[in-house]
Amino acid sequence: MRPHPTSAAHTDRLRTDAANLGTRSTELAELADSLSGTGPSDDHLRARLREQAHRSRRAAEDLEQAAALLGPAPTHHRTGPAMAALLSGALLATAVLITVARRSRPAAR
Amino acid sequence: MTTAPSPETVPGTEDLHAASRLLGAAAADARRAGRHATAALCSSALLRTALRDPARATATARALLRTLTRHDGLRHGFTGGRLGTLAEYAGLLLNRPGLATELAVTGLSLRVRAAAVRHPELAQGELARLTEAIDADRQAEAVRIFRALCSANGSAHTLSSVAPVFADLLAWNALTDENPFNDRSAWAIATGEVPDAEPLLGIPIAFWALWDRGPGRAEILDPEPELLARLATTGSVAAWVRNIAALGNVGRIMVQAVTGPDGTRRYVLQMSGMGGGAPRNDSPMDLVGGFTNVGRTDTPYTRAARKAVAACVPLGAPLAIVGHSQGGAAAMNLAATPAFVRDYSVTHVVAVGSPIDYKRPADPLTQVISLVNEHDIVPALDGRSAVSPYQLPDGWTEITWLDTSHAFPLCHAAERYADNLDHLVPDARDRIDTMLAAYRGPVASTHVFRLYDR
Repeated sequence: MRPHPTSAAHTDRLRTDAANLGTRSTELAELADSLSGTGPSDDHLRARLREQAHRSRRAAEDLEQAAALLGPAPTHHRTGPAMAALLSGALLATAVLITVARRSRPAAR
Repeated sequence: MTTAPSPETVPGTEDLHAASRLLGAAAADARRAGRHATAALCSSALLRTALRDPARATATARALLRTLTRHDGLRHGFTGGRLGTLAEYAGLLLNRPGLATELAVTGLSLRVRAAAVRHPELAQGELARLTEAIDADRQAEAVRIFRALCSANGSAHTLSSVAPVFADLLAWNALTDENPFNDRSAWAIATGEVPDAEPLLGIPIAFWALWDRGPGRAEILDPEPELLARLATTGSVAAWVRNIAALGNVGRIMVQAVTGPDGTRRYVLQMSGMGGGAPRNDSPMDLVGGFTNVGRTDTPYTRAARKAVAACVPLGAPLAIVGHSQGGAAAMNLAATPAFVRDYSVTHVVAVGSPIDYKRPADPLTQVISLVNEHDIVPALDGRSAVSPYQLPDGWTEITWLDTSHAFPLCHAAERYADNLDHLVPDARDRIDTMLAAYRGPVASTHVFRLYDR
């Protein structure tokens, strides 16, 4: 079964957010590495940036996992093809019945 | 008084600004991720999945909850929608800042650090303790330090000292305090967007606009001889700013016709700032007008000013607008009004000590010049300080300087700005006069108006 459009929109947004936060995490880590100051406040800032880079990375991973679960259902759960075959069969049977009924109507009169 | 190099040329500042912008963007990304995860958690899509496949829906909901609450992830990422907003407010009350808030606060602290390169006093003594207290979410201590500074140095000096980072400190405080209503404007300041509320209490501009109503009316005055004697007879930016000082803060504006060097008649609209009196009075230059002129384009001040211009300026005539404080914001509002720039050729706007940074002229050819003393708080009231890491649009001319007398509100006065132009930054004055060369010539006529809300 195809994912509902709303569900697909949520999934896409979460995947985009995961990618963005992953990129930000790398940038923040690079920023922390590039800080050249040696004072206590610089050390504090470096540690803070590294922690925020790490948390951004974890948030990106969480978002990716949530997006995977929210996305299309696994194949073994899909009922689409069976449902389509069933509907097609029902339509064909109805068409045959109508045709047979029309042909038999003049003879009945 | 001393002059200082522009913020971009101070060594080390640009790197800190770039880092601050990165943190602002990362904060916005983290907040957006929280909003989207909250929306997914509260969505009908998840409910439909629960009906179809309860086990899968439970796993998805748990994954989303973990995303929003993991201690070493978003931590408290709820935002948006009714439930998300409630959860966000609960986080504020329980003092659980999320990753987005912490990124924004780090970015704001880097702005203060960048400003301290240019203003070393921000990183010393009690001012440093003030920022440390805000950073550690010790609001009561921050207020105590601020009060002690006011007692020791006077509130004028203290306000002027923090003026270069006034908006940033307010946003920093708003993001770490327990008041949820001031967070919206704080987020806008932290991420370089347009705030729609003041960041102290979070009162929206729309609220102030409710009290600032009226079609605007302009009444022509017979200027008293004392005023006429003080007005300049030739055009220059310092002279126009002095003219505004001479008009006083009593609800008056002035239109002067000048004959340019090429013999063409041009017009200079000079707009004064907020007047005294009750916060809401019959003049559009009152306190409520101050708020609405910063956050809105169509206001009683601009409506009344348009009527004044229509009374003495021929359609299609070249027009330069010089405005001080609230008058500068109103000047930009006029330039941002398509109908006004269709009627008149607004070539220049000179905003003196005005919060105009998020306003844009309707005609891209209009040249915008913003003059800012970095110790003046008023230009930062729109949320962007003179040492902001976010640049103004290309083509804008922003001239900033340091008047180290640290005397607010004196350093905000039009007369003081004129003196600064003449004695502190004469090169900048000459540059502006060159830009406005077409308006430099003898004054042919002067029209003074008093403006009313209705």
